[in-house]
Amino acid sequence: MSNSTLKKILCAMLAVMMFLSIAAYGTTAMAEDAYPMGETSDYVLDYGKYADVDWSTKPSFKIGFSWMSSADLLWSMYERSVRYACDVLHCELIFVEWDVSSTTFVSDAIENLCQAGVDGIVSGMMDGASIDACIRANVPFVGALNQMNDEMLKTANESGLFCGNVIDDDYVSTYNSVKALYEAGCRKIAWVAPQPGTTQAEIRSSGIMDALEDYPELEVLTSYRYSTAGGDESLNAIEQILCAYPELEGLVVSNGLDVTSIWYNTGAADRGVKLAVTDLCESYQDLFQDDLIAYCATDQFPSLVIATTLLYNKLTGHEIMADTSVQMRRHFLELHNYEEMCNMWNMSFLNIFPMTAEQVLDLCVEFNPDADEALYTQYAEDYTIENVAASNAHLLEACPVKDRLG
Amino acid sequence: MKFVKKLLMTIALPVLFYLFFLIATGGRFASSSIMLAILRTSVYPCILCMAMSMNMTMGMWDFSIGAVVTVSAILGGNLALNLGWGVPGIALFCILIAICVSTISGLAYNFFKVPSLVLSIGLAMVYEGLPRLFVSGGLSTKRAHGILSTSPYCFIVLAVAFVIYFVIQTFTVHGKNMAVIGANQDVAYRSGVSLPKTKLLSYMLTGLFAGIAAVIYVGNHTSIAVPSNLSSVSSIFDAMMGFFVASFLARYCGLPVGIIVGVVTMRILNTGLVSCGLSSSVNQILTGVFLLALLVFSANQNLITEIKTKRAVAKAANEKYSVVA
Amino acid sequence: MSKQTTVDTSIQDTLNKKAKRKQLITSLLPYCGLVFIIIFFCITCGSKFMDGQNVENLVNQCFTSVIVVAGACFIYATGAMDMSVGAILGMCCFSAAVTLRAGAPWFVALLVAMLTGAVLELITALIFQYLKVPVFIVTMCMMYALQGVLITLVQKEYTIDFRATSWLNDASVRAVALVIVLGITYYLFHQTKLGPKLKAIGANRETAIQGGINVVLVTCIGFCILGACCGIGGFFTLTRMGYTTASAGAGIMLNVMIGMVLGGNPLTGGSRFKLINAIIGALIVTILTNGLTLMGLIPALLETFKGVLYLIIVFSTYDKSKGVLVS
Repeated sequence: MSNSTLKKILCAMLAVMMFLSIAAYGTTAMAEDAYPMGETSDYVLDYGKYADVDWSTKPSFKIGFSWMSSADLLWSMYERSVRYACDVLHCELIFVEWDVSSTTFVSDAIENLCQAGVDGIVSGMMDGASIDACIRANVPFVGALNQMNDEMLKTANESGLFCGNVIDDDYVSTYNSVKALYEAGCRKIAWVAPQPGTTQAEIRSSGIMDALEDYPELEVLTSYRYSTAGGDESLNAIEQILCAYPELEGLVVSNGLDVTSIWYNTGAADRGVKLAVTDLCESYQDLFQDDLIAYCATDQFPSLVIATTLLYNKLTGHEIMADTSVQMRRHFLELHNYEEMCNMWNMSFLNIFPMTAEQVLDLCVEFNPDADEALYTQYAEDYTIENVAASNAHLLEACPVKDRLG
Repeated sequence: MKFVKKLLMTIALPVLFYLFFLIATGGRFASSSIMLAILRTSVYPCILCMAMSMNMTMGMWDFSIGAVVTVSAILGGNLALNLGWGVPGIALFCILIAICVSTISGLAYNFFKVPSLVLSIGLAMVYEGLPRLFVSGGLSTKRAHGILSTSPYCFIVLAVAFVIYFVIQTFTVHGKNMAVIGANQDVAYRSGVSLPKTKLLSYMLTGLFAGIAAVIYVGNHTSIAVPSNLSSVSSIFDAMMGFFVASFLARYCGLPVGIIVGVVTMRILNTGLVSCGLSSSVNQILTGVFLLALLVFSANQNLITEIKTKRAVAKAANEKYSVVA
Repeated sequence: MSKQTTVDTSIQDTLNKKAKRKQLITSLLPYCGLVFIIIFFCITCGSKFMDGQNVENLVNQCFTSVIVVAGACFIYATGAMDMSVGAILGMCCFSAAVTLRAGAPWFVALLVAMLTGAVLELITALIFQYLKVPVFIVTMCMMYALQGVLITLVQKEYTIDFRATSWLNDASVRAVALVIVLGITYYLFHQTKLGPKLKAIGANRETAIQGGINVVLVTCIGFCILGACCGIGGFFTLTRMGYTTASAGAGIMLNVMIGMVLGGNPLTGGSRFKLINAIIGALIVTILTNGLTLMGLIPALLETFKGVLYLIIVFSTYDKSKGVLVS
């Protein structure tokens, strides 16, 4: 190829890049239904009976939150949830992503947050050095989403700054997954879970194991523990299981995986194989529409909001949890059909958060002197898709049921 | 006879693995759906391997290919969906963007004059962050948009990619130049091969195949997250392993066929282990051991011949020069 | 002396001066880069960056990567690279955790971790040397295999008595440990024959063999030193976290590579390789993350910013003498 030809190709490429840029600029905003990152969470704030609160008399804090990369619609929800709580409480949020190339990324992030001058910290994980960093900076902290191991719980409790750990009921979700398949009529099933190595993975797996013992009529054809190191290993494994076992009737997946394409490509959808899963994936809408999902446990996001209220209470001088060594469990939302999923989608991923601003403030002693641990427990137990949809009914009316791509 | 021997050596590994797992799974491995699953899940790593081999045959490591695939998938997919161009738009934009991004890599390589491994790490970091400047939620598509990753369309895509790759490697001057540079870069340079031009072209072709891989990737995933912290680098290791197996098989069947056979072999191994009910930890150990064993064999297969030759020479010398008392 | 000879000599002198100046600039650039980012963050972050607490944070955050990078110099100088560093660090973490849980004192656990790392790296070195498989591939296979072993061994978060060893997380203790380890590695690399031998292997392996260097032994020693450093890094990672998981240390391999490059060390090894450059590179990586976070840079821009900075530093400091013959 001559130099002039190569130059012509490069010029053509430049022209293509200019065209692509113009095309991109000319279209409406990319990924319309994705959350536009900004200073606020962009959720509708329905204060209800607290609409007349004079915020100038209320304290405002700088809340730090550390979590994994927020570059995905689902993953960005975690930051957006804490930002929502901060918006409701008129606090400032400082968000730090974990730099997983470091061996101690959790404690690095917490140390940096403490150094940035936050008043309190919400963290998805805590390790020893994180707790020590909070102690040194005299910054209260609260955990959310992940069960803490006994050693860390003990260390956190001894600090005097620990507000508690709000976790989702991982055990119940996977137990109910197996139960749902049984109730759907499946008798030959398989299960897929991440490799052991974290407390959450262990708890979710134990839910599956215990349920299999309680339902001995279920025949487990196979199981697989996949690596969480990245890549498509888990999806390939599920595809292979669906192909290798044509008699399979149900599959339990303990973490949300994008299996929708596989379900249809392998003919599992035609065979009516049911999926029972913990953690929602965007594409499950198709499976819901075709009645292929027996059970889906989702919505970890309010755990972060509740954790933020625990922290807020601590910062305003009110201790809610009598015994912070007991980790507060909160139910997942359990979805069984397409309409529930659309409601969930509209509520979480568009602009209506499942917990209203009024409910958030109800949990804060600064606004509701009757807020106590019993109220928290009651709220956690009452957290179902029906109750959440009812409390947001007036907002949902204005926002018609929409699927994820409009 | 030579052809038969080469053919047998080419298919020996995949056939042996298949037979082994057929017995180990009690016949369950014999189903056509499993074979179809193996072939379907081989399409993406095959095309990615073709993309990587463009530079790796010249001894250049490129860790940014994973990021290129993801960038082109996310940006191309979003662009196509917003223009309403559907599947053809996804294919067009993914390939165009991948070629553009890879061309930038190639130009940077020629400009920077630093080893490709060093450069690719920095480029991977930049490319990973790039989609976040334009979109916030990655890419979300409908199932219908992924038709090119379903059978039989994915095999058509693979066939087209294979033909292009085969033609480039075998019948073009550029392919020969790449092979010469890979054999001895100094000699190639002094023989008149233009290194900057050849390497730039290789990067552009890498982009072409990365774009095709991105199309399959979009089909396999209805939602794609933006990678971060160099997570895209770990996604190419599987394709890299396929390339090493392909390099071993290339002496019997050539690199293009070697890539297909190598990747399918790795997929048979993984699928077989899953079918046997073994978890990913065992999978990883056995995959690592297998690859090491294969490459040890490859590096040392002349050892026995060398030892025999040395002994024969020594024996002949002893017979010739020893003094009989 | 003829006029031509005089002209030749003066041209040569000019070229020598230019080359020396260029070498000086290239060797100073990593230091300048480090000073620059420190000054930059002092200005943008104010007292938050340079107060005592943040210095302690930086010591804690850079500890593992600096120690591992110092050990990695002993193999990168030969032109090799190790993809399995993360998995080996995870294994060292686990072995230290098992030892501590068994009631052994901390220094025994540290020694066990160092021994674990050294043995695993020795296995890698022997496979690479005797079985003639390229080191990149050997280490990649080891990475896969060790990750699998780690997953099998670490079934859940493997905890230790955090408070019993938390004194090891004190910044002053870590600073002392850092100084000791860096002092030993510096001595071995620059003051003994080991360093020059490793660099000679990196410059030209055949010449090194012909020159009488026992390449196998020297390379094995280099790998063992890296393993020992991984052991130290793994032990202190364990004491910092209070537990270990199956994915402990997973991301460090690329951090090591980036640290090497940012410090201006050639990944092909050779005579220009310096330990101090690698340490500066590792420090730059840590300070960047710390400083950009304190600056409040939104996460979306952080990685792109780091990538662009990396490319600028590579362009400025990397040896381009190979020209078009670079690979």
